[in-house]
Amino acid sequence: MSSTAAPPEPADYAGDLEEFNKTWAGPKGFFKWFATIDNGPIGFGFMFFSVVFFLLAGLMALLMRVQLAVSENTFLSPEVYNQLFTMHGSTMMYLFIVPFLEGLIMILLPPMLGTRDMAFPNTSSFGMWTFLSGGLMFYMSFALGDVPTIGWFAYPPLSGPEYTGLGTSFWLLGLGMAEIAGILSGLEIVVSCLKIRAPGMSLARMPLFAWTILVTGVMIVAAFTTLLTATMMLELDHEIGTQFFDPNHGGKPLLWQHLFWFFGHPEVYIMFIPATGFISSIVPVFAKRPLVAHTYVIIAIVLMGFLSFGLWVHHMFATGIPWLSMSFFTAASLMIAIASGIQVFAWIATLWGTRPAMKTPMLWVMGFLFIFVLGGLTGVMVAIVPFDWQVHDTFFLVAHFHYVLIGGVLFPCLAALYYWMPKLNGRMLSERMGKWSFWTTFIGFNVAFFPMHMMGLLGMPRRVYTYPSSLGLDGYNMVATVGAFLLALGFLLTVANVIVSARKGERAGADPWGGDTLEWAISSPLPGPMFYQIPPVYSRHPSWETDESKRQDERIERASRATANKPETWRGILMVDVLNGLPQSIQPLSKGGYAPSFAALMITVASMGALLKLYLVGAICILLALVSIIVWLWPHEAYLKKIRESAPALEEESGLPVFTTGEKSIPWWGIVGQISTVSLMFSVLFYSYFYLRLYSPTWPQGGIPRPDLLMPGVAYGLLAASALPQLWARRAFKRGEEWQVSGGLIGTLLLGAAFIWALYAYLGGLEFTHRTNAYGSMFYLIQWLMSGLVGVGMLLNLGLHYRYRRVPEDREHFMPVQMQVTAMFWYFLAVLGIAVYGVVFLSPYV
Amino acid sequence: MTETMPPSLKRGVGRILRARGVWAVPALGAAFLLGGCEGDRIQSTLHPASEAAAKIAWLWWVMCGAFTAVFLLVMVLLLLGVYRRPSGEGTGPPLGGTRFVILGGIAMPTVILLGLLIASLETTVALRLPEKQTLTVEVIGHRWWWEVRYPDQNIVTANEIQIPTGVPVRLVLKSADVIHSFWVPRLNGKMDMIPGHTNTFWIAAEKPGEYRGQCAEYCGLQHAKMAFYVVALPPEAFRAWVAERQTPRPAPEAFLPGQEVFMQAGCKNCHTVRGTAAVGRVGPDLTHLGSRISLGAGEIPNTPGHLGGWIGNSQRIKPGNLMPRSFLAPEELHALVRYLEAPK
Amino acid sequence: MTQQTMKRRGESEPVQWFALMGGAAAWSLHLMLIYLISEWGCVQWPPTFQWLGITVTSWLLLAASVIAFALAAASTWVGCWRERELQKEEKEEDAPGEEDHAARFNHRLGYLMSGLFAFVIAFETIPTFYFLQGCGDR
Repeated sequence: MSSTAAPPEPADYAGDLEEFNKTWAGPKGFFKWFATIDNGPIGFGFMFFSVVFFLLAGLMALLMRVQLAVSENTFLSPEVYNQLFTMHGSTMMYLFIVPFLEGLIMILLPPMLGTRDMAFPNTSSFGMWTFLSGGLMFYMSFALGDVPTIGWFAYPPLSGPEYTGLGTSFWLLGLGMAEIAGILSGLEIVVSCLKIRAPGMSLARMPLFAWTILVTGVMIVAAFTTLLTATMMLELDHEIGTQFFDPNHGGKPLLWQHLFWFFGHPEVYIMFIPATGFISSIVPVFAKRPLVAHTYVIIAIVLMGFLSFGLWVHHMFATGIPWLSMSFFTAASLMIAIASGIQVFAWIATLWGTRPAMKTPMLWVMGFLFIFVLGGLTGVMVAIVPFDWQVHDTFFLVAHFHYVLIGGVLFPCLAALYYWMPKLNGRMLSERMGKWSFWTTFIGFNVAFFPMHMMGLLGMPRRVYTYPSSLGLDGYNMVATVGAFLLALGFLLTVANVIVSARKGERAGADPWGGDTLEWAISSPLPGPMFYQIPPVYSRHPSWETDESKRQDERIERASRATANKPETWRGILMVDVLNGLPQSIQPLSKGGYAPSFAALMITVASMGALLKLYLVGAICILLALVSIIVWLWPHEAYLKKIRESAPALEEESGLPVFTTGEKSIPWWGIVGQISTVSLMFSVLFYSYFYLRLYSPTWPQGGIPRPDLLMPGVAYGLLAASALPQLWARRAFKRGEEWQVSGGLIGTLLLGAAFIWALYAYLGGLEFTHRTNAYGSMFYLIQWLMSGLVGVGMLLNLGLHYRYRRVPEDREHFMPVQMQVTAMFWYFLAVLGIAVYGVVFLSPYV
Repeated sequence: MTETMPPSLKRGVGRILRARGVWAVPALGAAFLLGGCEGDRIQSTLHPASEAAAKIAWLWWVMCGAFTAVFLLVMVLLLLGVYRRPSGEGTGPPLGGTRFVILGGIAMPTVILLGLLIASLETTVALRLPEKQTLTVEVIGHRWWWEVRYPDQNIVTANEIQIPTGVPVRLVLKSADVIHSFWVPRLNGKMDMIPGHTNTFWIAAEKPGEYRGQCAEYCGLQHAKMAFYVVALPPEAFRAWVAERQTPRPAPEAFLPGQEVFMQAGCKNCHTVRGTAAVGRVGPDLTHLGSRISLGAGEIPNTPGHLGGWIGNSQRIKPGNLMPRSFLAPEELHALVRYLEAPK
Repeated sequence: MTQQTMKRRGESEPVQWFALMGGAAAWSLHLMLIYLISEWGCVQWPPTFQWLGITVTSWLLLAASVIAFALAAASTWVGCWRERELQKEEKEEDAPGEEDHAARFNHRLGYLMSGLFAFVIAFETIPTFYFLQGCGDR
């Protein structure tokens, strides 16, 4: 492995190091933070800002604990207490754990997979800035003097326009931004894990950490898209008067709960599964032994990822859902214990008899096991319907999920921080301070949260700003408050440790722990391009492998050799087959620039402008955002030229293509991700549509006649027909028939425009609006989204047509994949249109 | 399980069990669980006063016992695994590793979870609303108080539910504004009250008494102070209570000045007093206010002094509640309190 | 490992994907069906809507469970069968660890996973038997 550890010895096949470094060096100066697309600084940004939010949320928790220390306390007013628990919960859930994990993943995943960056570096940058803007919008409510008091779960009608104001609108939009950041990172993570691994890294050799991240990525996309759709609906209720959740106009508050928990439950596992990835990375290294029952642990992770989507109703056991439905969710919730059980026993078996050194990472792991097992067991308890009827929404629940989230997620995060710190800044954290921090945190945590089980059982509901002394809970509450301060002290010790050690910490070598995965094979801190030569991988534990000569495979070796300081003038990475890890292609990553961060900023300002009724500002900014997104997605012609120039030699050396289509190219995966996200969003909307119908006495609601079939039929017919010229253009493109390509693309554009015109001509003649009732809201929202998507598809076609005419030299290179993704998106729209027609126009007649 | 344990593991378990002081842990735990005096447990799920609550409490104790055992087992294995000095032969993972994981991570949980699922389903089915019901009560959640209606008896009250002992009472749960949740821990679990949606639920009390309940779904500013009492009466006493509520008695003349104040100070816009012109439905029905246990939805005891304070400025007692301050002269306030507390 | 052996061992991709994800797909289908059927059936149809003394809702639920279980079982069987086949071929040469044979690993992972999902589907069928005559308290 020594060949991969920072500048390799000049071999005859290696490229020019200086040129290579220049390509991978990020931008300089203060503005580099806005222009960078490197996983390192972006990951750092995610982590830094999320920790700031964490400290704020922790402070709020302490204030709440002071208020609850004694009964009938008046330290905080009810208003302030409700604001604090809302912001504490939503900050921790939306702005701390997930972004923190995303940051850490962004930094660690590429070196572990043996690649140079994440799959969509521009998206990383956009995600980080949208997350930060979302967080600032969350906290904007403090400046507005209207902090939301709706809880992190925001149940309507309490969170609806009747009971809340501008602060909640900001909160919802901030949440929307954080979700968009999440979805994009999720897609990026999935594609990175599946496709841009080191050559030879088959699924069998992929580190467990990457497995957990892969599952997490899929979950993020599914869960956050659902929440994004739901928050969009609630935000529309606030801003334009739709009625999705207003019970007085046909809306259903319970619909929100279904959508929210379809996100909310997986969310817990989205945090927990990467945490198990940390544990599964650290335990084998300290045990100096590969993880026992590796295959079973992978199964457990996948099982957990899937099952977590089948549990949402267990947050709704007291809402009057049929018992039959609820019982299924009890069964599913119980099964998740098996997924946890497999992992816990695998860790114990791995540690068995190895007498691991009790260094700080290992201490946090031990603390994790203690707390998590307890929290997991109480989790099984609350899945039991009758018992949940008692403890639901009590402090028992508060105790349970803090055991799971602090013990199960934060402790592994801290273990990871102590373990991987050398990779982040090249220095070790202080062991002494780490041990103090661990014991203070561990003891403080249990003192703070164990009594809460009792409080709940003895009848203390959640989210109360005070409680009468007659409940006899003063003692427990006082103990909990003392524990909370101890816990806070413990965390602060680690924060101090990080700050002090960043300057004075002991310098770490490449591999201070004797790790088994690829990141330990390269220098600490991680170099910008990660690997000067992308390493060949023949083992699940590449850094432990001593003799791998007998397994060498020529294809893998050749691909690896071709990447030694190369490509020199553009950011290139290897793409592999999902299943067997054999190299497939060399792909360019984007060049980077200000466009993503500027787009994020403009979207933020635009949405704030819209909320504050500064419509002109909003319109200008949304236009600027659109322009910068186009700039971001537009192929960089000079960069493409460099790629075209060096590609033939590289293809010769590596035996791999550079300009590819289909699953061997990154844009293809991007569009597949987008299509999946949009499909999911429409599935959520269709579900909501039928849910409202199920609980409405009449459908359509409020005497609205069933929709006309003819006019919309013409509109959606036009959309479906527009797939034909697209198909024609694609065929002609393959054959190189210039005018037919143009004709096909223009035909598509015209039919798309005709669809939008016909649709709005029909909508304009309707008697009801989106304000009439929930049916009207649903009806219009689906049409609006559909026409918006067609607009996006038309922009893609326009861009393609422009490049086809103006950059003919690229027709053989990057343009085929551009043509492919444009066509895929358009076919998808045609099919989606048929589905929309079926659901919105035909189904009311059934 | 013990037969399959490797000898080294058996030795280790034995050593831990023989260690002095280990038994103090469960003993301390039990003390912690049952701490506090019985009199304080007015809202405890562990002090059931009905068959339904007792069934759930039993489920808790079973799970508590079983899971304590599981937890201790896992912790013992973990500590043995990490700290045991490997004795020559036993350096590998136990039972070859994979077998250990299958046994501990799949087989053991399956057995426990299967039992638990069956216990859960049995208990759920057993908590079904019994066939014979004598009484239906409609409870409507408001921000932040409880409207209680007896549709068959034509009685309306607030923040207090009178029920006869020994029979199941069917509850029809609704909400007038946001989501609330009905919960009397000593009598049964909880059930949400959702606007635009009706839930049915039931409670029963074995013995006469007052059982405190509280809103369990966050419902805004004063969610913390939205309590109520279920008052279980022996069947005869309950019949008497119903009869008394059903015979309207005009207020004796001595209280008429108070009634005057009530009508003129704006109270009638929000409150109802049966048999008078006051038919407001925003706030609680005050017809029989005098006989209630508490004021402000379980917040303060119902005494003339507290009532005067509440009318004068309820915002000091329950900030943010929807009742505005009143500015009555002392003698008007006095008359009003006397009128409201009078038996009607 | 030469290029030839790599190629020979290369398994048909659709079969590998089915072995890997068939169980998970079956479980997802099962969840969707049982949730939708129970929510719809319990609200829309009275408990007296029965056939052979069992509600139509429960019949549909049982059918969904059987279909999903069969799918997961099929995926388990395919993975198991392919793994055996590959194992037989393996014996002819000196075999490195399982992790060196991508297709075999995928099949093994696949059938263990699908088997577990089949088990979960079966476990989630138990509640149906408690509510054959109605959906609960209504």
